[in-house]
Amino acid sequence: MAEIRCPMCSTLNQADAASCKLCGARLKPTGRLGTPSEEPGPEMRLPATGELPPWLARLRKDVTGRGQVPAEVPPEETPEPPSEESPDWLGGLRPADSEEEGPPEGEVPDWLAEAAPAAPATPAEPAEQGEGPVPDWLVRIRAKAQADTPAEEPADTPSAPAPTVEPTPPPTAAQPPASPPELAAEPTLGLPDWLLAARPDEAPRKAEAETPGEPSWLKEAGLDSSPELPHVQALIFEGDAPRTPVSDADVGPISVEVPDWMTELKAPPAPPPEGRPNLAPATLPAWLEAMRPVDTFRSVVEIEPEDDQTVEAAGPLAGLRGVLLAEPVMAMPRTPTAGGGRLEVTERQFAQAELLHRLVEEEQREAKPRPQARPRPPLLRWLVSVVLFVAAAVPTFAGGPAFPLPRLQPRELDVLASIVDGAPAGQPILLVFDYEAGYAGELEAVASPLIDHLLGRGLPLATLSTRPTGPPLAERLVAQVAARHGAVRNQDFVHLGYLSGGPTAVQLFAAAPTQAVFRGYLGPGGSPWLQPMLLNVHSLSDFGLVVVLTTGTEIARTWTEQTQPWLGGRPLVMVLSAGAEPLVRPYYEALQPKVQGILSGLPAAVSYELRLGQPGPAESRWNAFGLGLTAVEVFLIAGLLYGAAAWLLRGSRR
Amino acid sequence: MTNEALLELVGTAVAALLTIMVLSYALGDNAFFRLAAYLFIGVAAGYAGAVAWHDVLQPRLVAPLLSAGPAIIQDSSQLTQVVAPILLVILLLSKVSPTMGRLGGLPVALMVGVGAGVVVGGAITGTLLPQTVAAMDSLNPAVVAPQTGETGIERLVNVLIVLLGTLSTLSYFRLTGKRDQPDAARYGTRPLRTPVGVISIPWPILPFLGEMFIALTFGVMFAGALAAVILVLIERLQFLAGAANVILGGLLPAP
Repeated sequence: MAEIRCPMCSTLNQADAASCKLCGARLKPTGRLGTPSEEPGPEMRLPATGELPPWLARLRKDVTGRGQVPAEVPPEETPEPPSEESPDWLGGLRPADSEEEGPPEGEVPDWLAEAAPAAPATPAEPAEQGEGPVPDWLVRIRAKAQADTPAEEPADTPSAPAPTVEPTPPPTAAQPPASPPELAAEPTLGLPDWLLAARPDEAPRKAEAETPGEPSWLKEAGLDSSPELPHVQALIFEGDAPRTPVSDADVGPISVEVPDWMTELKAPPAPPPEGRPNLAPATLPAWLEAMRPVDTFRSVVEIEPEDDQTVEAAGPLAGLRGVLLAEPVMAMPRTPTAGGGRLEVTERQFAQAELLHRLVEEEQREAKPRPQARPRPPLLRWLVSVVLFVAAAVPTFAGGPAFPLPRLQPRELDVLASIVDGAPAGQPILLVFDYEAGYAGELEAVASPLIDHLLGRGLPLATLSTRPTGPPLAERLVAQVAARHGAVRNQDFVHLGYLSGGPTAVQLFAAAPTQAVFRGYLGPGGSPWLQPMLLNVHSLSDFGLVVVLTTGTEIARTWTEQTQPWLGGRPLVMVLSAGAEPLVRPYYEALQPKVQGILSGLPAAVSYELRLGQPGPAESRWNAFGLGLTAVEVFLIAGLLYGAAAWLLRGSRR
Repeated sequence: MTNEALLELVGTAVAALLTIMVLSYALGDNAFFRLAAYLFIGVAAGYAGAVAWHDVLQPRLVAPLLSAGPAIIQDSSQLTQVVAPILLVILLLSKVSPTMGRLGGLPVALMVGVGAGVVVGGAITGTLLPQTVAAMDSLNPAVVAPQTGETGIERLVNVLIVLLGTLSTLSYFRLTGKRDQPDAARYGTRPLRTPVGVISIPWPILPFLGEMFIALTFGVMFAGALAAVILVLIERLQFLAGAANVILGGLLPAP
């Protein structure tokens, strides 16, 4: 009949047995054992009883009372020579020292004797003795551990004495890997010796220090726990995961399934001693917590429910559930614990981060609508308006005060008058009305004496505009002046109407006027070129004089540039708004002038009317114009004085 | 009162009312000013459209097309003066369609290209070269200005002022800066000994003089614009006075 070997005590049991008849350990794994590749190979199985180390066999005999375990093995589990067939990694381990060979024959550790009273072992010394006599083999182990520990002890735990944990006897090639019972329940998981040696102040051992059956070295280690150690959160904690009770076997943070016989060894939980911190389960000592990377380490070892825990399939822990795998601990990438655990932030970076945080907060903050300030009445605006209205209205409605008319005529007025006087009789005069209706009040007053002069000479007039509103403005002014001379529309003056196309149309009109204008304004119908006064006009040079009335420098420049090649020596006269005169005057004052005559501003118009001896709209507005300019000058002077005073005050304050 | 007189009276009253509504802006932005402004904008746009149809589209495109009929295709002169413009108009109207809008690029390109050529050509031959020559005027005192009649010292001083103003203004428009001092002040100061003592003058002096010339030019233009609007205000007030006489004279019975 087939038998299986207990993974814990190597006792042969029936193949269908669920638990070991000796130690009660579960023989059949509850989880999957996986694929055949996961089946433990012969090199990973426990050696036969006969191959156990002598000290372990002696211990087994003392505990169980059975001197020899039958060395029967299943046919398929024929043992192989251990020395030659052991894996390579076992060969790299160091041989066991003499101190690691276990207690001498006949000696059983106190805790083991206490936990197994039925066994015919040597009576152990009572645990209450605490510092009682220590076996020699254990003294040698402590001495070696104390000699090795100080050099590897962390520097931040000076108060903690050197641990007295018995080092784990490493397996050797000649000696199969088998551990004492207490070490089998306390897997090292490949942790370094110094870390294992630094574990004596763990909470379970402190509680165990009060138990009557604890070993003397454990009691000594428990006294080393500093009562001032703070409580820290567990490194591994999951609310849903079942908490592994703290056992006396001191499995630490590692959750394993402890065999039943091991759980029976647990001493009843003793109440926490007075004056000592009641460390909660699943807490870490401060020295170990200090070694943990802050905020960067995320444990890859998670406690899984019992049903989800993997059953170890090979090695001395084969068949156990919940064995901590070596791969997450050794192979998974982690944040380096030295130096890289904390983010190095300089003061400048911190300040910039604070600034960015503040900016984001301000952006997210909803802007509160500011209460609208009560609108202040524009007193200054009203004052200026009232003054200007009064200055312009008083002479108009009241007739005074009277400002003296200009006695000196502008120099360009003589030139203009001579041009008009020199215009050939019978040839029509082209008047271009290129201004908006808003400036009619100014340009009508300025151009009125010129038109009056032209009509007084009996020259026929032809009006044109590149703006849609130009023809009505031309009709309004020319008809007003013509009424004084008895001139008749379509006989003495003709409206050519609207010329569309901007500068291109101006050039086209200069080159071929009859092809640029098809329909006149307020004409008898048909083409305006059929009028008798325009029958001889075929080009721009057929006009006796070209007069442009405009308020913009761009329009004046367009007519000056585009008509020069086709003027044929005919003079070009500009009637300008006062604001446009400075930019047009260079065309006039050049040695080779592009503009032969210029008329701008009310003073020049008044002088023209005085020259003609016919008072017109310019002279009627002279007094109001003078008073209005006086008011404007007063405001300018007041503003200049205010600015100077403010500047001086600022200078004195500085 | 005849219909024409009544129509003129109503027109004068409406014009006076609109004038007052516009002048009410002196008190601040109000509904009357906005109503008058919107009315002027609408009337101006409508009037411009009517003029474009009456003076351009109807006599140049529609009338020839209707008078000639289908035979217009056989007339070569009408093809270039009527048919081609109509096609360009149709292409330009395709701009309103999102799918056929690219066809409108041809007339737009034609207008922009022709307009730019006309303006640039005229500016070079009519303004740039003549004004450059005018800036290099003769310093001979015997020369007489053809338009102003200046001669002798008066003209010489005038020519020198024009020359200084031209050079200093050109030097002002330098678009360069020091590499290591991009925000440095435009002018520094330099002490200058004078009979009355040492004074600090801006340095470099030539761009500073150019800035002064530009400021004087803008000041003169502002003064001219101010005089123009004063004159317009006076004309409007005179109109209101005349309108008041007309309205009151028309409404009140004659004595």
